[in-house]
Amino acid sequence: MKISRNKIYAAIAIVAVLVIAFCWGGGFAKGSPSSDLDNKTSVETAQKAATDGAVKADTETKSAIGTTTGAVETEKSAEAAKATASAVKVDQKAVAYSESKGMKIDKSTGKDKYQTDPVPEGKPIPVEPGTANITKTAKTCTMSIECKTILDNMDNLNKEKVELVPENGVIMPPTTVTFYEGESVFNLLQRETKKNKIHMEFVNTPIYNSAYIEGINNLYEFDCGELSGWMYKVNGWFPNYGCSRYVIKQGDVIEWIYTCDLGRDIGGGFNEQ
Amino acid sequence: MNNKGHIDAFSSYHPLVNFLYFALVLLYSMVLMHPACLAISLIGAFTYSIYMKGIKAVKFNFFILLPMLVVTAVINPAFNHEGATILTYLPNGNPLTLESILYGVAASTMMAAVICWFSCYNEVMTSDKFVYLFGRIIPALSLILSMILRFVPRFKAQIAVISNAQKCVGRDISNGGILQRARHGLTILSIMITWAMENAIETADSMKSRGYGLPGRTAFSIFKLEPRDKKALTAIGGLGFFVLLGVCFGSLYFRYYPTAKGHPLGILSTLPFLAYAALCIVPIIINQQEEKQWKATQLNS
Repeated sequence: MKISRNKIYAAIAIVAVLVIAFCWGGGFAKGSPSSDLDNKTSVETAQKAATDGAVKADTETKSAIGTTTGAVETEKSAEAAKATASAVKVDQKAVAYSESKGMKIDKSTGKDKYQTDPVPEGKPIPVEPGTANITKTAKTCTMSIECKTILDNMDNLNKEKVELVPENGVIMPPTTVTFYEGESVFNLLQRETKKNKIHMEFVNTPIYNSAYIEGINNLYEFDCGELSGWMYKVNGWFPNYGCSRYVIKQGDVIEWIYTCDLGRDIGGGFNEQ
Repeated sequence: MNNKGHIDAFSSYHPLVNFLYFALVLLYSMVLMHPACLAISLIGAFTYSIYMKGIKAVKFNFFILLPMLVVTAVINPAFNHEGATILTYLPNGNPLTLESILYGVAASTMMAAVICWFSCYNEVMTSDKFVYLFGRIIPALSLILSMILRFVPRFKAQIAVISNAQKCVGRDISNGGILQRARHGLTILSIMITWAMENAIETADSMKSRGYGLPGRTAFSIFKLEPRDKKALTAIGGLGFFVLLGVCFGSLYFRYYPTAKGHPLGILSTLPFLAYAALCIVPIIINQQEEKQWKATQLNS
């Protein structure tokens, strides 16, 4: 192939476009300037965690795996660590606990059939929405919806959405609400948002057998940076499975929290618990 | 309006004028999502296509484009539930919002307008004009583009030829039972594809043997930038620039989510809309003027 002046110009133009795209994009790095460092440390913690036997993937942050190469590496190295470290140790306690409660865990993957890791000791195991038995017994629990993390990341927020963020970041203050025995966190959220005229959009994800909350109050996932979205917390714990599979009990404290950094800014990060 | 449409005087202008016009109109139709802009664009496209192609365009616009517009408008709220005004809840549990309906209507209007503008573009910007404009700067690309742009009409014409030939030997899609018809249809399609590939290679070879795209090769053209072209060029460029100013000053701003909201209308901020409307009907104005001139030269009118 003959190299002509035009071809060189074309090559320069393509490189320039790529460079501009590289500098322009990569919004997730904006929020955390030390993202490289974060990835490294997360790999280390992941290895540690793997040998300790407690790697958890949160189904709510479904985009965690594969969002950054760091996360993929984390997974790989975690798996490698799993394989090399004595396989007996892995998740032993959690597996035993989860299985005793009736969770079916696949021996080869260490997860159940909806990609859920064993539940840590003392926490409720997932109940599939189809099998849940909803009775007429009314009970009460506390529910709140807030997006305080956005207040610290206003510059990342989609400009059209600024007016939607309440001044104190609270969309629904902690409220005592009624639910029926056997209902899931998702059922409650859907009913309460309907009742209070709060917008909420979800999508059913068959692979996790749960609803995924895309947006509440028109604040959507990815609206405040590439690592943002909704997570839920029950009694201070971020369940490692979807909200359709979490059955509420009397007196539970349910919090819906918006994260701008994959859960790290609200204490529910991947591999952290 | 006669059935075959009018002779388009705008087509006889310099290719640069035609191209600038369609480039601007298509770009603005795609980018400007303000409801008023979309309405202007759709009306402009419908008017021009009907003016140019007559009854054929009326059929296409009202029996294909409008139903398509309605269907695509309905699709958006079925999948998109964003928006602050919740009207009701869909059976699957997600909200049906006013904003998603509005956006659906806007997006489908935009699509219909762009398709209609492209049908006009195909009529006006023939491949010789396109190759004349871009043959020197981007020879390979302009040839490919002009081939692609006339691909569908050419395919249609050729399929009619093949179908007729097959009809002569009793193998058209109108002969035989359902299965046989399907088989004949497939044969016609296969002949069509064979022809298309061969034709593409032939075109490439033919252009190569003529030295197309070689440095120093001159090309004959019948186009000359006359004073009327310059006038039209200034008018189109000026109007286009004015609309661009409107965009820069935000008077054409409109957002659909989370609430539908636009720039407040004032005396000054309506000017870009007027400029846009004027831009869209430039060919109609030119045609009208031309017609008036022609009528004035007739002795017994």
